Amino acid sequence: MGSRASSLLRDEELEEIKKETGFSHSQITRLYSRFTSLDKGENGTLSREDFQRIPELAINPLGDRIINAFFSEGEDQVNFRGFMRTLAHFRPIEDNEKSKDVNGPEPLNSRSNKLHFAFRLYDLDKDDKISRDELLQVLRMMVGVNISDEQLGSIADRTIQEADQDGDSAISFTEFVKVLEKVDVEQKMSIRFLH
Amino acid sequence: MKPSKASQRYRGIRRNTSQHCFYQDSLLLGNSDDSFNETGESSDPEQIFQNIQFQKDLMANIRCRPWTMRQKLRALRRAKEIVLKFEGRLTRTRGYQAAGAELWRKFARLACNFMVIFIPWEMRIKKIESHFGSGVASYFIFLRWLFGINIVLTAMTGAFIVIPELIAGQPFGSTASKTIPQEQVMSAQDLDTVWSLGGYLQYSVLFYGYYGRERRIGRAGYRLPLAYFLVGMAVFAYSFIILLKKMAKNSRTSLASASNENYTFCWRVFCAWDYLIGNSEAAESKTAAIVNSIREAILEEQEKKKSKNMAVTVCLRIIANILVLLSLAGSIYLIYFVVDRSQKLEQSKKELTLWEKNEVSVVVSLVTMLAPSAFDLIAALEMYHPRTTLRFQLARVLVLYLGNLYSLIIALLDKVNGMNIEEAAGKNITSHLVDSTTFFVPSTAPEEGQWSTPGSGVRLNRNSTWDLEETSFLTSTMPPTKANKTALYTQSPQGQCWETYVGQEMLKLSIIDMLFTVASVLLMDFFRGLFVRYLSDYWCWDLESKFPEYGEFKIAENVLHLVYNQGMIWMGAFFSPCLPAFNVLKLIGLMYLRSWAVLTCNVPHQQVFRASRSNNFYLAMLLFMLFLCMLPTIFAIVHYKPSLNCGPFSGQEKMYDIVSETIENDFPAWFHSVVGHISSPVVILPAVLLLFMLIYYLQSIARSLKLSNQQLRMQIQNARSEDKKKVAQMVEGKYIFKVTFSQVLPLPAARIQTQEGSTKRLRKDSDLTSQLSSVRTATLQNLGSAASLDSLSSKSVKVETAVPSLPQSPGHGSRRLCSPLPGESRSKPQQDMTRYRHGPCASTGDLRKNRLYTPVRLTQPMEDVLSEPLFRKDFQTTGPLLQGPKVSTPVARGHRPCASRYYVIQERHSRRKPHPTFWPERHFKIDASGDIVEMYPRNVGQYTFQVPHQPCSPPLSEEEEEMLRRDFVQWSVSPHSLTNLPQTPHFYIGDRSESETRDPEHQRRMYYRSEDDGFEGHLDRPIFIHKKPRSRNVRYSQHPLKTRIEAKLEPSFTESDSVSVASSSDQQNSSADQYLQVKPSQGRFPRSAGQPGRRKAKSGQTLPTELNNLICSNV
Repeated sequence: MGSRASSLLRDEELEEIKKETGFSHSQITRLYSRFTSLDKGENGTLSREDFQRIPELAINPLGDRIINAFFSEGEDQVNFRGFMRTLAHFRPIEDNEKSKDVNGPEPLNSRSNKLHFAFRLYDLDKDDKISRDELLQVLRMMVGVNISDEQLGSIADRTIQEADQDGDSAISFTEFVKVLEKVDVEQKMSIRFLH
Repeated sequence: MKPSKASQRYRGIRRNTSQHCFYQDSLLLGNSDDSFNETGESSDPEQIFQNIQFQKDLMANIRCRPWTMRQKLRALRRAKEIVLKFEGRLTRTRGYQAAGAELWRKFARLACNFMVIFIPWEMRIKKIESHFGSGVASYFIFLRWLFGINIVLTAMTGAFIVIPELIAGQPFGSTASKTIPQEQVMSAQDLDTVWSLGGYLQYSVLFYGYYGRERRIGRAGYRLPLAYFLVGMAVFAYSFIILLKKMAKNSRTSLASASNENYTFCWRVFCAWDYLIGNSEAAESKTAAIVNSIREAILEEQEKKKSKNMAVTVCLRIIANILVLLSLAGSIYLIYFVVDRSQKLEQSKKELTLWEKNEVSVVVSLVTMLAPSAFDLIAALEMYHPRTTLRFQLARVLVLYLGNLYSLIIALLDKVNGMNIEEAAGKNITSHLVDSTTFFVPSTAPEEGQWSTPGSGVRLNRNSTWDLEETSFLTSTMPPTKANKTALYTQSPQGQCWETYVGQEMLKLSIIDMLFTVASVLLMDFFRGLFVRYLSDYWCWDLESKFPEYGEFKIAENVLHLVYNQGMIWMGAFFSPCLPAFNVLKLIGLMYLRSWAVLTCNVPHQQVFRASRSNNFYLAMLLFMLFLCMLPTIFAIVHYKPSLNCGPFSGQEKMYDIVSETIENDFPAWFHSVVGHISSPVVILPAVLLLFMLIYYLQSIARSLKLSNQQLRMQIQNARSEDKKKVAQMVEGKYIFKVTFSQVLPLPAARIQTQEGSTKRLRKDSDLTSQLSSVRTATLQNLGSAASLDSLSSKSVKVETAVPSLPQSPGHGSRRLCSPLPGESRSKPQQDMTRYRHGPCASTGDLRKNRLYTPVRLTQPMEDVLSEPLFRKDFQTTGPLLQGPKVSTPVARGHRPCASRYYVIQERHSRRKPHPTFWPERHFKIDASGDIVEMYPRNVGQYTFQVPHQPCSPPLSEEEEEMLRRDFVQWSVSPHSLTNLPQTPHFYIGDRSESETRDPEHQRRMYYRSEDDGFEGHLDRPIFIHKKPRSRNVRYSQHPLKTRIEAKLEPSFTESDSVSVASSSDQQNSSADQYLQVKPSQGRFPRSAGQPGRRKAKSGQTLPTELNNLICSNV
């Protein structure tokens, strides 16, 4: 199966993806087969509906946002390249990666890129700030109808108050990073891709 | 799974850090050997290869290197590491290692996942936790923990007592204590008998009475009685140890986790969801958990905000406590009453009904069930935080339970008492009359006399037939024929086993408690739930939301119930070795029943609150309970004589005699004597004392650690909030500047007045000339002739003179800064801002001159300051006066200025809280800064008038301006990073060396600097100085120009003097301009200084810039 998948994948394309994302050859072929199995339309791209079929995403209150993260602005199809680019955010950071290419472009799976990915899940309007409304939406998604708006509002306020450092009543990316300073994002936002 | 990940991470971190260290170290080493810098920093394989080669070479000939041994060792180690790192990675073994590590990691993960299956009820508890919050889950975790303890207890008693007795002991029916008495055989299998644990049950391993008295049993000679005693004690010891260990662990984890208070909300919002959840049921649970945690957070917030009407709440709380006390007293009285009644019943009636027999247990169980609900209602009055409420509730219920248990046990021991007395009486004269028995009481059992409660006394007074009833109650199946005395006789050897009786009672209590628990769960939760659920449609009100509602899981009562239950086990375990085993079964049943009931019939608490996992409160209660339950048992063991005809200790005077007996008979003589010595007061008393001292010592250490912990936490908090503030200020920097200006300026004005007054006085007192000279000397000294000063024997004199020169204004200036007065001159700050540009120009001129002196000054001033304190001591007291508005009054003249100055300095210090190490330097600087400060205000005043002069500023002005601005900017952005500053001054100096002969204006400025000593003639400096004295100091001390300056010192001398004078006059003038009061002083200074007014004007110009800087710094 893997060989079939890789045969569909052109070598140069594979090389490029490898370079861009840091996945190994076998990982890419494996993910490609996954990609094709998700691709019900069999047109080489995935639509939002395809993603919705993944149970983890369907259940996840933020699943919609995550799916959204796969699609670039205004698009509703994602090709394998884009798919891999997004997945690359979740590649674990290898030990030997930390030491090398200090000067090269930051890999997609660096800590700050991971954080930025997470940040974008919350930043709906892409103004690089998580506003109170955006927070409220997220909270609402997570708790359903169990808690009153008022209470959720106070939670959102508290959250912002905690994180806000420059007094603009919104959480900027730097503040977001600061909040998650002690969270082991490198490990938590990593998925074990089979080799 | 977690641990493996963590360890993995840890390993990764360690590797990183080690690499990191290694780089750093190699950099360090690089000082001695540059080639080290290359170590492994590049990813280029070629380079790496070269590096390895180099390291190998290094290792080969490290002997020849001209390094110290330590260096060599270090280098060698590094080199080896490097080689290992780059070369080792490529080897085959390394590959296997890596693969092995990977495999092991996977295996560990798997094993961890697998282990979860074996944690009993883990999934169940997690499910409950997700729906009902951590509070309810804590109950089940506690239950599981108790279950574990009971398993161990069961294993202990089972392995060392029950099984040996069953295997090696004499079989059932072989001895009198192991056979059912003839009279009872008929009824031994009646339900009634079994229910009251009589018959076969009574004569089984369940109870103490069954165990044989042979010292050794079986072929191996197992010492059962000894084992029985030791295991009985070990049960308590183990419970204590395990409890304390758990508590210690809990407090450790709670301390460790307490620091994570930051960003709780953010984490809750951003990190709540587990993105790996793929199962819809799990997702539901997770959602419930998130809802719960958010609810908890909301609750915490509400509790924080709650405005309190103190009077009302206090009243309510007092009322509530009174009610609680009343109900406690009531319940205890009720139990006492029931016990008393049952005793009377036993005495008056021969046949007891079922109810009468179980009355006590039932009432006790009822009370324990109902009273907590009452407490719950009462607690609503108090309006505490739910967590506090829970604790109060727990404490109250605990008291209730304890009261119940104690009244019960007292009643039991009462009976035991009676039994012993009867036994004694029976032995002596069975046919005696009532009176005789009463007589015997004191004689045969004097100890029991103190113990006997009124109830027993009553009994004793009865005629001897009550003995029969008593025994009949015990065996409960005795035929009525027992009434005659012969029957009593034959039967007493078996019936009088009080240990068995206590064991029976405890087991009975435990069973009834279990039944009641089941009943209450069914009734209060299940049927109520059914009722509410299915009948609410047909009822006249909404059952679900109004009266009965669904049951809530009451954490307090349930936890307490567990504690109570465990207390019963501890209390009875000695008399009924199988009680722990029974309790294990009971706990298992309870776990399933409760979890089922919670999930099916209960609704989550309206207010979910966070009950920390490491809840030491439950454990503390359990410990308390353990202690209190141990007391009666120990008391019974120590106090009462074991029954004659049953049990392992029969025939002994006391139960613990078995230990001494064993030691005597079965151990060598020396051991016996050793034990004898150890148990003598000579050893025990010191040991106890030592223990007390240890406890005290550890306690005090713990307290101090706690304190320091708290302080550190507060520091962190402060740092955080300060950071926030600073950032906020940066954003609104402009506005803040304005505000601060207004605050800063007013003070200077006031100060100036006083200063001038003082300076005037000074001048008057000492001749103008002398003053001048003194000033000069002072400046000289300050400026840089530190070395010369040191060499001079008349150092002190010089110092004094120096002091006067400085005092003129500096001190006051510094003061102003510290304590801002209400804004007088708003406009000034703005002016200053504009002037700040001009400032640089002026400063340039000054700088040139000063630079010569600066180096000298740096070191010298510090010295002066240090040495001065002694001289100035007297002045210090006067200082304040001078500074204050009352300056006009004549005080000590010549010295005063110094004193005032000095004083000011100190003030500054205190306010700024400088580093101790910098002390001396700071003093010096402070003086300088103070001077500067003073001058600014005046200058400002001048400046406003003399704007035209500004243009005159030297050609360097532009550059300087730039520099100033830069500095300024830097400062405002990051006050802490002053490293750049020192460099700028140097730059100035170099540029301006030629400009010594500059305009008077410039000279004036120089004067400030000279006075300041530390300023090195930079205008920029003042700015920084005000803000950060420390950094300034550092610069001074480091000044590389020192030597050069010294050389130039002498030529500059005169110049500097004149300059300084001029500057001082300028200052005064400027101040005069601004403030009318100052005017008189103006005239003098110019004269003395002999410098043209124009200069003053210019100095004024320069000053504004400085002011600006100052202001900025303050901001």
